[in-house]
Amino acid sequence: MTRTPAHRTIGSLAGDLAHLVRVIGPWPAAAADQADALLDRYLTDERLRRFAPAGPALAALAARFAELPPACDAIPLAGLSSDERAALIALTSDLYSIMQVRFAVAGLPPPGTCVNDPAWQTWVPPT
Amino acid sequence: MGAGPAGSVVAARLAEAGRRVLLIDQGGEYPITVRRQILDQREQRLLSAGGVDFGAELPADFTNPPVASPQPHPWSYTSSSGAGGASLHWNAHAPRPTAEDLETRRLFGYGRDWPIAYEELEPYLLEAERELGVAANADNPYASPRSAEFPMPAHAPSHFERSVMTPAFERLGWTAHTRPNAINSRPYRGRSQCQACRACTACPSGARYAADLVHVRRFTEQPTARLVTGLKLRRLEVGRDGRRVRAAHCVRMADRAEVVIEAGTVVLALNGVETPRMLLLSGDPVHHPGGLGNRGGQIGRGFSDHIMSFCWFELAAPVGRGLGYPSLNCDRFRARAERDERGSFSINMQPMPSEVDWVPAAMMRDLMVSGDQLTLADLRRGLQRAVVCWTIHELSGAGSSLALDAQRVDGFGDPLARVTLSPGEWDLAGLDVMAALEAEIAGALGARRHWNGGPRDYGFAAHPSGATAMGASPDAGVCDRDARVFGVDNLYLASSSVFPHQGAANPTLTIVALALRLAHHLASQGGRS
Repeated sequence: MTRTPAHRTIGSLAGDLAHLVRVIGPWPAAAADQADALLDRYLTDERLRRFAPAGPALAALAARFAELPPACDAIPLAGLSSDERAALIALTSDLYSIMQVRFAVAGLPPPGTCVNDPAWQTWVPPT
Repeated sequence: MGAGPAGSVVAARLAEAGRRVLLIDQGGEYPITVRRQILDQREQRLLSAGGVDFGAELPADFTNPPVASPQPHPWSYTSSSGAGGASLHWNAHAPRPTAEDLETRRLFGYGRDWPIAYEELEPYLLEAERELGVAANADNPYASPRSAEFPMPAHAPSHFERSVMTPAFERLGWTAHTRPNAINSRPYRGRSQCQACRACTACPSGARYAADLVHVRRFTEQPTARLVTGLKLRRLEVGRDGRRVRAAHCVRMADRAEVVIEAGTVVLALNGVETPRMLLLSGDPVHHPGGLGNRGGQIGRGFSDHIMSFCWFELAAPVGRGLGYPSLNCDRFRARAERDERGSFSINMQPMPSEVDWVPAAMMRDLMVSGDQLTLADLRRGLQRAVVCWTIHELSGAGSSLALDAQRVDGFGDPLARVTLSPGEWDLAGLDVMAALEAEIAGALGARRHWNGGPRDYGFAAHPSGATAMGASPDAGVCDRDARVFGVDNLYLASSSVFPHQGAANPTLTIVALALRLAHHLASQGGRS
């Protein structure tokens, strides 16, 4: 598996995807290192090939959202072309389908991390 | 032949009884450190369970071949080779069959009755629970009688199970009870208690039973035992009179050399597909023209599996943490089921995320799109409130079969197994019942929304069984009640393939119970090897 280098700029497919993942992902600016660690594994050649047909739409989205901060709470879909809207939804689905991302969303250590706490599952979450 | 839970239990018991035993497997050996490596690879490649699995290093011709399954809903399964077999990557749910599961033909008119009554099997089920290390409390009101407690107490229920699921089930008139898991709730026989790694399919702590960590290890400690891995069995050969297996013909992975093994007694312990396939591949034109022990044409008949359905709920509040497996579940529809109308099923739920769940497309879309907004905060919040529910459904086995495929072959030119398994109306009626219950469950849970895969959407559970069933005669099965193949005096089977019928219970505990029973039978016979 070949990976794209970690330093990416908007204007390349990898750079556009990286920026959009930061915007839609769950990692705030303070957790930029976690976002970068994810991106190193996320932007595989296979995934770049898969998103390549949506390249123009992703480029337009990255340019449009260039100033948005990481971990946005909401993004307006009005005004996006159908291709841009489809690409954004597909990227969000793909990102949040990843088990490791969902563990991060839940604030849980990744599966395989042995927490060795016999009461781990009994914890009551704040409502 | 085969170092999974069945084969290694028989081998360990016989070696401990002083017998000379050779245990072979086509796969390799996987020290505990390999589990960590597998998990690291999954993490690095962002893959879920199964994305990287045991046996990935095996050459293609040494892995279990796929099956041919031409029907509209093709059947397939995952398997694992190597010392430990399927227990290397199993989820460790270890329920017992019910007494009714063993006599469905007499009671309800479907399936095939076992030649062993529950009362006779029960001591071996208990022994199997002790061998595997099953954690549960004897609190299941839907279970058949048991003669003693489980070897260790259940895992503490999660916040979701205790505070949300149990009250919801009570509102529906059901009882949530502890779920028997072959995962240590306390240190047990030299293995640690569960460390909440939440990666059971490659459990890195050893708290979850795996045959290589228990029975293969015990086996290899015996002076009369020998384990050989990387040896693929291709065919059994009978002697001149056709009454005994004379030799097992194998290929050695290291150099592709042919290896011939001679033994006084042979126990075939592959799996629910490869065991019947091996008998079919070992046919003898004079004595066993349709497959070894196939005098009554029974090999392949009654092949079965479970089907699984899934649904998802978004609760009103965060669900909390899970261990990666449920501590509680519900067998209400296994025991008080209208089995003359439909199959029985068990209900399981757990908080998301886990290493084996996923988010269906419709749920993802509903969580993240609202009007003209991509509602990312809602998506994140919804994922923290999500639980997945899955049901495991019994199949009747009617019309199902396993045979050799006429066209497709494996890497050695041997025909693949061809499976015909098309669940019928009776089989699918349980899905309709569950679909109708889904809204009731959602209401009882106080769920905001719920989703499913669509009408009668299902997948197979990788629990193949039934294709070399125990029976009273060659016209009713492939082997007798002692698992000896009819017409072959020194050939025994240890596999889910000997189940005449499979209720809604996951099969491993019963496989091991039958393996213990077979070991007891063989140990009581004469001879040294």
